[in-house]
Amino acid sequence: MLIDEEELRGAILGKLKEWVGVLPDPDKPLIGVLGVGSETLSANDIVEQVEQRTAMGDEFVQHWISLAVNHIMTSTLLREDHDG
Amino acid sequence: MIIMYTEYDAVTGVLANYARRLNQELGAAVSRLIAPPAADAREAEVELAKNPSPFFFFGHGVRAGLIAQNLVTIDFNKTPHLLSGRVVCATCCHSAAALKSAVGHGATVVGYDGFVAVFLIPPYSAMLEDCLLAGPRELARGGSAADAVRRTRGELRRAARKLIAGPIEDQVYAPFLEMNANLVKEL
Repeated sequence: MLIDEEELRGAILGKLKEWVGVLPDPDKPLIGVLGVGSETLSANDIVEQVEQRTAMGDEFVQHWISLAVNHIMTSTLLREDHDG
Repeated sequence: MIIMYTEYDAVTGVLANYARRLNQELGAAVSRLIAPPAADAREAEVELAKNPSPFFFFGHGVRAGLIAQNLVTIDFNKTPHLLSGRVVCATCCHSAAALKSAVGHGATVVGYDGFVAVFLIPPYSAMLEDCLLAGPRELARGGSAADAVRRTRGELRRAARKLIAGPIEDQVYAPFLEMNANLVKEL
């Protein structure tokens, strides 16, 4: 089974929604992003950015996919304490 | 060295802590700390006019300039001579655009080409500190602007790789580190 980018995006969005669902305060500001004032992103805002496919939301997903794939490709083959 | 920082909202609060840490680390190498409440535009301009030391800024920025504590924009594209021949590193949004003209006056600039994501809560804010201070630390050691950019990108990407291997709570922050890594540049 090959997974295309759209499915990966859907998987990330699903996981983000699960994460938001267990946070005590999903509207708490987590990340400051803008140049002036106190513009911030909460967990709910991040989900919204991804869901609405904003430029930032799309870039966020692209980087997440790239990092996750890179993590797989650079993973070690055996545990450090593997005893053969 | 001159360190200037502002502190008036959540983002500048985090960056102010980074600036204070850098100031503490550099000790006597810092010839002037321009800090709130005196970190206004006039104070910065007067100091820069008489002190040719490298200049490190932490706070908000827009394409038109760096935002002082009194919320006045210091437009270095109108006063690039204030940065003539010096090393400048501005940890804020749009600092690459805000400091562009200074390069024509012999300044060496390390800045960010867009919106910088700043993590507001621990442990992520502490993790970002080591990333965003990597450039200023490299410059303070006498490294080149290219080295400072390489160090900053390296730290940001190392942190991103670490976070992507963790739970979703960690993974969410990793893409923002990649975005920041793509923004830092030397001029």
